[in-house]
Amino acid sequence: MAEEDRDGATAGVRSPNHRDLISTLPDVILQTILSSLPTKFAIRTSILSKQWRHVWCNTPSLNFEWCGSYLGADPINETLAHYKAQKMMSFHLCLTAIKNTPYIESWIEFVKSRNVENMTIDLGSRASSDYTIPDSFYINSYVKQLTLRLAFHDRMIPRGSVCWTSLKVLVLRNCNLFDGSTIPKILSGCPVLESLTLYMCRCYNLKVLDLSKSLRLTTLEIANNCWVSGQIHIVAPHIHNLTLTVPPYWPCNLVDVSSLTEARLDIGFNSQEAFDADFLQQFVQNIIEKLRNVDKLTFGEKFIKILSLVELRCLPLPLFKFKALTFETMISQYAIPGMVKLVQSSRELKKLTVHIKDEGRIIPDEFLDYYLKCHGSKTDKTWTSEARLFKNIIRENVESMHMASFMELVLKITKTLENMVIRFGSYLEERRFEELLDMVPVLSHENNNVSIVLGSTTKSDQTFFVSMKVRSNV
Amino acid sequence: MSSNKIVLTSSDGESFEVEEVVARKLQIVGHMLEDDCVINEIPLQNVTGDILSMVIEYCKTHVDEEESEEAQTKLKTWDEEFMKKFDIKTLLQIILAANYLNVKGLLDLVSQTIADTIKDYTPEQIREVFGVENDYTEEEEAEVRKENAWAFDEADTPKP
Repeated sequence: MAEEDRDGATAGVRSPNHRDLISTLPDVILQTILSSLPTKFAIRTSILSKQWRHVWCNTPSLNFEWCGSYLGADPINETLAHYKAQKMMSFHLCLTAIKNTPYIESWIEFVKSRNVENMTIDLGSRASSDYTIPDSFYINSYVKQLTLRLAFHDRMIPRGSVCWTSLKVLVLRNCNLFDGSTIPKILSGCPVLESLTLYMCRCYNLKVLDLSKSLRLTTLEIANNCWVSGQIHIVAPHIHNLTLTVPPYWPCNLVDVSSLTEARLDIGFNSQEAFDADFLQQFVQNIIEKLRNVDKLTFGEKFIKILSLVELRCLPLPLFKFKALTFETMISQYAIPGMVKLVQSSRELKKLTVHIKDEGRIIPDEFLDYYLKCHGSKTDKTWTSEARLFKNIIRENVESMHMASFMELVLKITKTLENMVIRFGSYLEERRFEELLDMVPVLSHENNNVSIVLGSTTKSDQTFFVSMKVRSNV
Repeated sequence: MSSNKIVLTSSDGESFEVEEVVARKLQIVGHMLEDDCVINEIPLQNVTGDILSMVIEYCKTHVDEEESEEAQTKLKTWDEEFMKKFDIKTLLQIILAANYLNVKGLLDLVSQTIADTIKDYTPEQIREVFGVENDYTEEEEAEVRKENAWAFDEADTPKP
């Protein structure tokens, strides 16, 4: 048995009077601590004492993140000149000044020379500069996780091939992919890619996102992407986990998602002018049809509200095999019909989670009223009494009985449910939450085997969970 | 196999009987078990009983690392509360132990906690809190500051 004291230190057996314990820690631990800090703060430790002078130079990571003040090229160049570690784990660069742009290539070269595994290059806080990412950026056999964020007019156009042979996680934010061949090139240059995120990227000349040759790519997130050529067709037979936030007007068609087990869906809704309920409603119906065999589904508020329109207009939805459903939404008159429909259509539902979120920028209620009116729905008769109970209910006037009524509604419409989790965040103030806890054991229901967990954030930001078996009152 | 118990003994002779799955969270133990699978008592020379009990508390809580968002939130809250229990001196002992016993999650957690403390303080305050003795002369200290002057910009230096 190896009993060697490899780090040369013994925990807990030092003299308790030794005040300066931190300086006796081995450098490797000090460097682990400093790795969790922006480099600026790590460097500041160099004036603590002589022993600390060079400790930061060997931390396995450099982090030039936004620290509240402008960072020019000189500090970065000086820091790199003093930096000694030969093997770096991570490098995070956030550039805020456009005049640093000419140095970017040399910093990328530096990172490559240190075999960095985890790299973040964030150029998105600069003014726009028509910068094109240098070709050398695309050749890197060490990087395993890469995040790139660009400013509005910057471009990704690899002229040669892409060679990211170790890359597992790729996140592109705000990137302009002018050439339709960029994404195919990236995919063919990343043989071991496991996770791809496209966040607010603008993709030109691409009609099909074909992931069928990326055998290890199992996680895909696409959020508010702009497919300039119109509708994108997604062929992703190996994806297990899909997160899709679709902006109105840039729809996507899921051609093949046959391995999918988990998905999160929402609609990105940034501009009120873009609201076209007819279009969205068709899109929502189509996409949800493709996901009917998935096990775990999460829906955002806007998606749920559009589903409410589908339900209120009595349009068809298929039956689903969802076993676990999560709603991330405010509970409102406009969200309840969509939630009810989803729960009713999920005949194998075992677990329901409601995460009450107030995200702002939701679809204004008047739009939905107007839409229903245009389609001949008389507002009063359209809504169920459970939905009407939530009319004009917001955080300020919500009572515990509203939530009890919502829970009774859910218990009433599902026979298979085993677990219900409701996370209130700060939605219910402490007193109302306590009242609700007293009400849960006497909720009326027919299903007697549901375990209920309620979570809340109190003023001191503490989450607590309460579990109880709901007794049948038969 | 998972119900198998293992006894961990600290440098000051305190013994803890834990489930094998918990003991395996200490990678040092995991490696020993791979070398010789019949061990059921393991002496840990470099850690005292009071610190070991805290490491074990962490490992017991983290034994099932579920991926669900709820489970993660719950664990994160637990971690925060757990860290609040300790003074700086104990944190430093725990980080040494986590490094020796090779408990990656705990090492990262304590590193982050200590780093957050460092970030909130001026160099003078860090010396005070951690008891670091300044052995620079004034000139030397000015020299070091000058070497990386940008890091000592007053704009975002925490106010005492």
